[in-house]
Amino acid sequence: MESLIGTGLVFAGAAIAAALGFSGSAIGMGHAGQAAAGVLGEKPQLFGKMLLMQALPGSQGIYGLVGAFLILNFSGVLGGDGSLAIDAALGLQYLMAGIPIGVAGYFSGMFQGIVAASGISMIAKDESNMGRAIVLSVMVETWAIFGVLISFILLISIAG
Amino acid sequence: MSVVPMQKVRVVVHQSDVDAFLTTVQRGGAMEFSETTADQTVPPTMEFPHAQLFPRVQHAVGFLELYSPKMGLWTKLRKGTQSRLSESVILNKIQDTDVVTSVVEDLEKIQVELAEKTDRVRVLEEQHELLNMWSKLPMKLEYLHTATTTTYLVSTDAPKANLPEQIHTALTEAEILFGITTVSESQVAVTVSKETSIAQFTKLAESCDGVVHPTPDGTETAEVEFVKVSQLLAKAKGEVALVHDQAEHFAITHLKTLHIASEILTWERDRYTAVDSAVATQQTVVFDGWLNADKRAVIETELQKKNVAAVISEVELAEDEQPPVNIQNSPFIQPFEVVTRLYGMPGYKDLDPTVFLAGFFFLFFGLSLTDVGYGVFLMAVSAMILTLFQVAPVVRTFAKLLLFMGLSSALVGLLFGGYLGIDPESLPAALRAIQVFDPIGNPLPVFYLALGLGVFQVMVGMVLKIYSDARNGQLMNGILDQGPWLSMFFLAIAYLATVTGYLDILLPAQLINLMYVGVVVIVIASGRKGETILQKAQSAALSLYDSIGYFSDILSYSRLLALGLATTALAFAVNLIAELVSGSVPYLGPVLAVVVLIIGHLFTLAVNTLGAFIHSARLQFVEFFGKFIAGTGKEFKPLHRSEQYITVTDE
Repeated sequence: MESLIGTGLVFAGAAIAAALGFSGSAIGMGHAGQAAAGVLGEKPQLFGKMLLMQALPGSQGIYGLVGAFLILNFSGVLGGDGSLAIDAALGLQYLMAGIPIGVAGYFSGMFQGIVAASGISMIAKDESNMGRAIVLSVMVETWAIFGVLISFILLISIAG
Repeated sequence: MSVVPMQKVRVVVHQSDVDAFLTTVQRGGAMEFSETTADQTVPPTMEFPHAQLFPRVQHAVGFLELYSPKMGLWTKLRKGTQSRLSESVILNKIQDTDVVTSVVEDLEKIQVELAEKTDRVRVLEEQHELLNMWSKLPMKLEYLHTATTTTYLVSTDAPKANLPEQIHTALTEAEILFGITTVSESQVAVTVSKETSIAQFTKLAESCDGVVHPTPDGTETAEVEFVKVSQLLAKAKGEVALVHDQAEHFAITHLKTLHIASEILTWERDRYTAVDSAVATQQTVVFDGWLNADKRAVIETELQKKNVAAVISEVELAEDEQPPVNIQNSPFIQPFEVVTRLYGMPGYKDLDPTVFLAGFFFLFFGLSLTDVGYGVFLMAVSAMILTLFQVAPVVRTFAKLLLFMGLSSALVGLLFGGYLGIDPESLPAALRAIQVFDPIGNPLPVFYLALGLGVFQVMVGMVLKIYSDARNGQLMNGILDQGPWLSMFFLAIAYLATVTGYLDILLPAQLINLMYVGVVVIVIASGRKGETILQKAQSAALSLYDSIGYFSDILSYSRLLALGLATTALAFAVNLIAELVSGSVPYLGPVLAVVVLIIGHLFTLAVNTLGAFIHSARLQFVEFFGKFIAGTGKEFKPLHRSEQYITVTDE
């Protein structure tokens, strides 16, 4: 029973990392995609640039995926020999490790999408603003990366 | 492999040679024209000689394209849309437009005929519909209007209305003399005296939910007239079909000619648009613009050969003026320009990043897709486009890039054991022997590999910044800005290698002490930038903040692991679904499984190829370009020939 709770907590950690990251990216890409669709109605030749801008808030989902895999791998759920025994305290540590990457990914994905949407308006006015628009949008992503970092540090600090 | 050098030039051309000069620079795509200003000049008086014909040709092309025989995608790709013409043939076509004019005139006659006949069909259809409405009334149409009476047809859509009774009541109450013929439950013919106006009658009919219909022309009963109009309508439709046939035949025989004429006239129109930006003297026309310096000698030789009276002179750049930017690379690297152009042009004084990103993009794409099967498929598609199809140059360039991307995926897939999501354990021993990484079972080495590649690319970016600064006469600034950070990266790598036992030159503590020294050097080097002590201190403090930027840049490369994992996981899921379908549906299971495999893997390939491309490009734009590209340049847009329907060949 103890082992089942522990494994369940590990799953919860991986699920938080992945699901919040995916959700943040989905919201962010939705904002950016909406703006991009508006621009493309007028300037279809900007499709490549718009696609890239829309993809920028997708990073948080990717980080969430990385985080989930690392949690499952570090805990031994993935790549283990099946004789896994994780107690509740250990499982809780893995759960906590998933929180920074998940929560930071959710909020930064959402807000990066809003900045990317504004960047899309900049590019629509002048294509040469592409670099500036990317930089402004990526600034928000920094916090998701810090989330990845803290989750990683927590993972390697877990005392089994 | 560089940003093409540009010269700001002024070209003075004799008025009689303007078109020859513009044709030469247009053919070479060598010059971008800008607004010209000069003293004692007037706007040029030259006008596009085919200003009347050009829109007529464009209209004719638009009309005939609707009638051109539909080709399948395969045939279209195999045959292409371009005609091969030599320069002299093009010249003849522009000088002698009689043939095209005659074709356009003939087509315009067809268009007029078609418009008239279509209009006739429309009128007859309206009559047909009206007569159909009146067809149940057994009264000759000539009696509808007599000297003293008029007969109207009233109908209603109201389901429960008793129209004859309602009309009867309404007319009686209005004290109008009338006669009613009931046609059906919802239709009545009402004969009233001429004194009753149509407006008055319509108002009464509307009060009974009735609609008054216009009276059709004719003498016989509506039924007889209906038959007559039906025959006329059939005949008119036949005539329209005949004109459509003529147009289709015309499209088969003349559309190609008109496409060519339209393209040649577009080129000529573009040349005269360039003239609009010029100024003129009594004998000459003066053009200002940007000339591709690499092409200047060729253009001048060409002008000499054609005896064109034109003088090209270089003009000093105004303060802070930046030339437009174009990039040029060897055929091997050129496909990767797609990535650079997606971002936009670098600044004129920046390096062309294409050659530097090519290797990284190749590797990152492979790491993001990580599958031999998908890689081979991409290579096969691109090889087919390049060898079997006649496609536009842009598509060919992209196909070349796709070939590289496929090769990269296949090579990386071999090392990662990615074979359409098949479990590596069930693969032949020879393939298993090649596998180095197991991203699902043990993702950490791939994670470290991705971060390691990030460190390497960021360091390459710093070295390129030093090189770029050196080219612009700022070598010392480059060394002082990037050198200390580069040293810190080397020290950090040495520290990691030492603590993990791969290096044994200095002790870890000594390396950490050296890093402290590095931090001090960074602060001092950055502190040189301010003018006041406060500004220097501010600059020094901010330089340490760069460490956060480097740090987040490197962690961003972890996406390579995630994208590779996503491909493997999706491919595995497709195989799993196919296996379930195969086992659970009797008889049809294996067939459905094949369908699931084909559709599923095509979907996975499409989604992951797009993701791999976008994220590999993003790593270049955000994490790499930012290190050594300072500005964004304005793209060089020369006067050129857009070859949609014509490929210019040698004589």
